[in-house]
Amino acid sequence: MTEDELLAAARGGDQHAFAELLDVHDRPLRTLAYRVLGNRDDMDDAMQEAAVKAFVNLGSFNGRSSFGTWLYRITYTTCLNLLRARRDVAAPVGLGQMDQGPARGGRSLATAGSVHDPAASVGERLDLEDALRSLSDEQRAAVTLVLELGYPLAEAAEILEVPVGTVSSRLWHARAVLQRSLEPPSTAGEDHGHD
Amino acid sequence: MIEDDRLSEALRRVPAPEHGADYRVRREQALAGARPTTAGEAATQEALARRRTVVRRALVAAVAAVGLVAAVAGAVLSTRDAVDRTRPAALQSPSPSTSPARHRAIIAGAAPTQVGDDLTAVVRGLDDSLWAWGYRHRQGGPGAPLLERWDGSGWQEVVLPARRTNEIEGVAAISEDDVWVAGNSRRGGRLLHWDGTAWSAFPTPNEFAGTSETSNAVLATGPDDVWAVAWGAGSGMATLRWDGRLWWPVPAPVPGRGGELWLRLVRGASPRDVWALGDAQGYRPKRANGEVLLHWSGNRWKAQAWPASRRSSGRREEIVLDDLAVAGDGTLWAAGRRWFGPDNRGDLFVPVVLRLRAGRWQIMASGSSPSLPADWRRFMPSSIAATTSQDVWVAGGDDSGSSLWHWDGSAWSVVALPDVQSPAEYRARSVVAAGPDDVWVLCQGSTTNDRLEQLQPFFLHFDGATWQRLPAAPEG
Repeated sequence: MTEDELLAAARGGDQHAFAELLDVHDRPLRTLAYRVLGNRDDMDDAMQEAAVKAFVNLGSFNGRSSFGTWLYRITYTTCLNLLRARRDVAAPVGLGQMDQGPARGGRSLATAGSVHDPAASVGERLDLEDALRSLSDEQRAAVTLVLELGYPLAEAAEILEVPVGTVSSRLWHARAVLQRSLEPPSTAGEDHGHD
Repeated sequence: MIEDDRLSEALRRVPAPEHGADYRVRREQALAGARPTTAGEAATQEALARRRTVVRRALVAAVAAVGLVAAVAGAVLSTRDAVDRTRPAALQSPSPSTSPARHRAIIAGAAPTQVGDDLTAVVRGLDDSLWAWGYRHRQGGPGAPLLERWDGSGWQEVVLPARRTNEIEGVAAISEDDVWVAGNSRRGGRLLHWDGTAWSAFPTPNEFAGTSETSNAVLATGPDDVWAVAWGAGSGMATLRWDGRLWWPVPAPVPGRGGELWLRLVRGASPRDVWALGDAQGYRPKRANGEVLLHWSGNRWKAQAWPASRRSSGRREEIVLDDLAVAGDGTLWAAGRRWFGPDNRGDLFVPVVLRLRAGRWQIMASGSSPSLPADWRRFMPSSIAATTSQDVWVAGGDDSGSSLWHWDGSAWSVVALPDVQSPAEYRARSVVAAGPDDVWVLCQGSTTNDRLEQLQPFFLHFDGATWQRLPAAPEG
């Protein structure tokens, strides 16, 4: 079935068609939720909650944006709400709390890379992990959508519900932090001296 | 950008994990108990929501009216708030501060790991006043933009109008009663103006910023000559100029077809000498894209040739500029990084300080500068200030701490910043100078306790002989 056919069936109450639609978008949704929330359990909770919200509100999807954009927006908002709710009842999320993947059955940022890139430097992954944690939720979301998932700025702005310039501004600040994490620890450049 | 490709690749190497084993079962159960609303039901709900909004706005208006009565006595509203709709060619006049702004804190929930004040930059006004801005992170709630002013004896927080901006991107002060703040709100860019009595908010409409509607930096060379530049502006309409009465879009040259200009910085010394820095994206042909430096000589913007990238013996080099300063003699100084590309085996940035004089770029600081320390390569500049070509300051740092480089016209010296016991760690973020005996450095300090980072900005002032530490404004 095409996405339109699945959507029509879902609007009619077919939850299996809707689940199929969710699966089509699962990888980017997972990436966005994981980057914002930082661990697999929260990622799953947020995605489940977002799935129900989206299903219930299918009638309000008017096709002005793509179904994917609409879905990402709901997921992102759910992630932020989840974070805020948790911060209200618990101590602020500390640096070490962001990812508890391995202990809870998932892979952490630090270890996930080894599956895909055995040659990647552990140091670089750890630096990148630290750098990601030091970003705000919104900066991480912008980085994930634009740099990792390759969305155009305009679409990322639509998902995050901010102007394009704000996405760019977040990227600009985040980029500097992340780039620093990728720089080699020792330097050996060439000098050209004065002109 | 090539750096973005590197980042994308690095991020993709650490993908999100798969779902937990029971995720799909739980999702199926949750969906089974739900039912989609029909379009009709959704429309009804939307209508109800609209009605609630109308009632809420009426309440807001009523409350605002009560406030207005009280405010009139204090002359709170600026007379400039009247909208001049008879001038379609010009930009809109400021909107009155009574609009029931949909306050969605863009940054709400940000900074899960940080609390405290995060000051980004410090600037010197035309009247030699000093202003610093940033963001206040709060625990358990949304933060707020932060503006501070040096009153001659201490830093004081300046109260911004509520809900008018979520982020501050730049400040330009002409006098005590003529200050511009460039910021972002959810609806787009905002230019706020302080007239000594009240704040006015000027929207930056589509005519200005094209796709982003965002003002990003602001510069004043006089009360009737203020510039704001934008992110993501199509059609080259990336700059705005205030003539003392209205904001006007000023076209900038575009390097190709389509695409957008992303200007992030504006610096200048006079109405006939203004520089805007940014990059061009999405233009055709592809080679038209990249870093952009524009110069305003009084009647139009002109693209300035970028410091040459070179490609020799399989090596590529690119220069990225992070900050600009115009010295009193009109010389442009720039601090940034030189990037040696992937074909150099081992991507690498090294710091670079450049001078543009008589149309010619000169590298002023590099490995061949004898007075720079052996580990000069690790220094990453964050800010540059120049009073004359014999008095240039570059703030920055490396893993081991922050330092200042000073150029006296013939050589560089490294000025050690004083040891500060608390906070134990700090970064020099921004430098402004009025001369070799009047230098201000904004430092961002932090202390991590129980994995929560407490931000503690402060200022260092150099009188030519000694450093004095001055605290940022206390939270009001």
